Amino acid sequence: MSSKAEYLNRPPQALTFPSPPAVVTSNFPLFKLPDKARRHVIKSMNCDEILFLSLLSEKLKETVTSLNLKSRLVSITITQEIQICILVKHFLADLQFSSSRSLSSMDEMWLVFGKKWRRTNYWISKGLSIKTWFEHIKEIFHFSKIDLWFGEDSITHDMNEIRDTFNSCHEIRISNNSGSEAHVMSILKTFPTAKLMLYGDLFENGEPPSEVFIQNYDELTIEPRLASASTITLEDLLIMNSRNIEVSELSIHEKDVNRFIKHWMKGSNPRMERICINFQDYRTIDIDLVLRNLNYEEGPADRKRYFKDNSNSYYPVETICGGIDIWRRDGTLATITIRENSAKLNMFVWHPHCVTDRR
Amino acid sequence: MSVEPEVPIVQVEEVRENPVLYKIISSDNHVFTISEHAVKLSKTLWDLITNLGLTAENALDNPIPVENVNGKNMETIVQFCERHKYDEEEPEYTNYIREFVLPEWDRQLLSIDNEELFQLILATNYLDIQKLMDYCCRVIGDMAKDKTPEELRIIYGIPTDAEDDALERSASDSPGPSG
Repeated sequence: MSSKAEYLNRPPQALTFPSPPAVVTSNFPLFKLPDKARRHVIKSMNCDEILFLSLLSEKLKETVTSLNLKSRLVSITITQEIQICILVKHFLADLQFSSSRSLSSMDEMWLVFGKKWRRTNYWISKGLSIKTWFEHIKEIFHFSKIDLWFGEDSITHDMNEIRDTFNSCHEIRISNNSGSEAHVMSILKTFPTAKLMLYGDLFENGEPPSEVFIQNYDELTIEPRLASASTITLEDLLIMNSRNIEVSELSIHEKDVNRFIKHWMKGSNPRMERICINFQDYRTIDIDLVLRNLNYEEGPADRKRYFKDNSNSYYPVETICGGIDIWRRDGTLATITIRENSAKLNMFVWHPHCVTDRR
Repeated sequence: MSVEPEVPIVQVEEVRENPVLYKIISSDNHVFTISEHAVKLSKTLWDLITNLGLTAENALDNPIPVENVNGKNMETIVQFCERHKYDEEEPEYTNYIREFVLPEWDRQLLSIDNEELFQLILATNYLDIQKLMDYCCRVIGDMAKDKTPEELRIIYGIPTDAEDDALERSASDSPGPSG
């Protein structure tokens, strides 16, 4: 705690909600204003002030809730501690719970606020549980989707309690020190998700089991084992059933990618909208080997087309310049691009729902 | 005057445009003159002027009574509107007030005690002047900076749930106008 206090440059203050202190003189009768004016005042406040107001009375909570403030991002990091990070416009609220006890028990929590990536305010809250806090912020900041990040010692928590508290998960990230393979599989079974990101280190043989590959995620990202190549094979790629696939540090070769494309042309990976791969050590990709014996058409470099990434709410449209066009048997068009010093290969499949005419 | 003052653009344009002026009478019978550009910042006043069919020819002969705003607040409002009459129009916002720094001139204008600020907001709300509302609300919002929730309760006079319940009960128990 002291390191946080030093970092933030002043001692934290306890956030409690009993009767007010005696020495505050300025008094503005906010509640005597007409409803429209009162709402106007609250809307002009910072996220932390709005959050505090919402805690002071049910009536004020209703007013704040009715402002329809929406969070852009909610991510929950689960290690031995639990951290809830909420982005509301350019305000960032970080709720850091230190205890590993039950999520519904009373707990001590650090509230750290930031604005435009600078820390602005912080408090310690006592007497409200993680579950209570989460339900409160969910109500006033109107979010339904959350990202869950599992890290070191996340195994100390009861997964069912985590699920019951933070329901409606949208994205799961499991970092490479999250625990045993059994724990990872328990997370995957407990939390159905649209997006999944995990590390090869989590698995005994360096890659997830095929039951992970065949799930129909919107997005599947597999990071390699630390300081070693991914053991993902061509066969693994061919059974992946996700819309967006990203695999790094592949140890397969261009001829395998060539075979992957040929399989796609014949009908494999029908849901796939985009795949992004790179080889071990980010080595240069030999595009001639990738395209060997394929029918393709190279587009002019100044040609611009717009790819709609339906699973990415932050950058929903990507501009595709030039690229190499290929077609599958049913006529579906895809474009291959090589970027980042020829080390990253992207393949965009132009399903009708992935085509847009502008950014 | 012997020294030629730096003439604000506002005045130059007024002279050039020969602006239409309107008269407004406050609740305590103070009379104010305001230019057309300035009065347009108040949606309420401009709607009234439009509905009354006031024109450049008859505007000064037909003062507009505003019974909800006293002379003190009207003076501040007229000053504000004249100061900001040529500002670019603000974009519409929905959930948040746009980010802005309160200009020094306006901060000075709004350096008044809380009771006066309260009355000014009521007047601004009635006259529907978005920019002045934004500025007043920023001043009130700034009172919350670096305060604990307990301090906010005092600063804004926020009743507890128990006090809210008691108020509601007494309101429902009290007899109506006829009773």
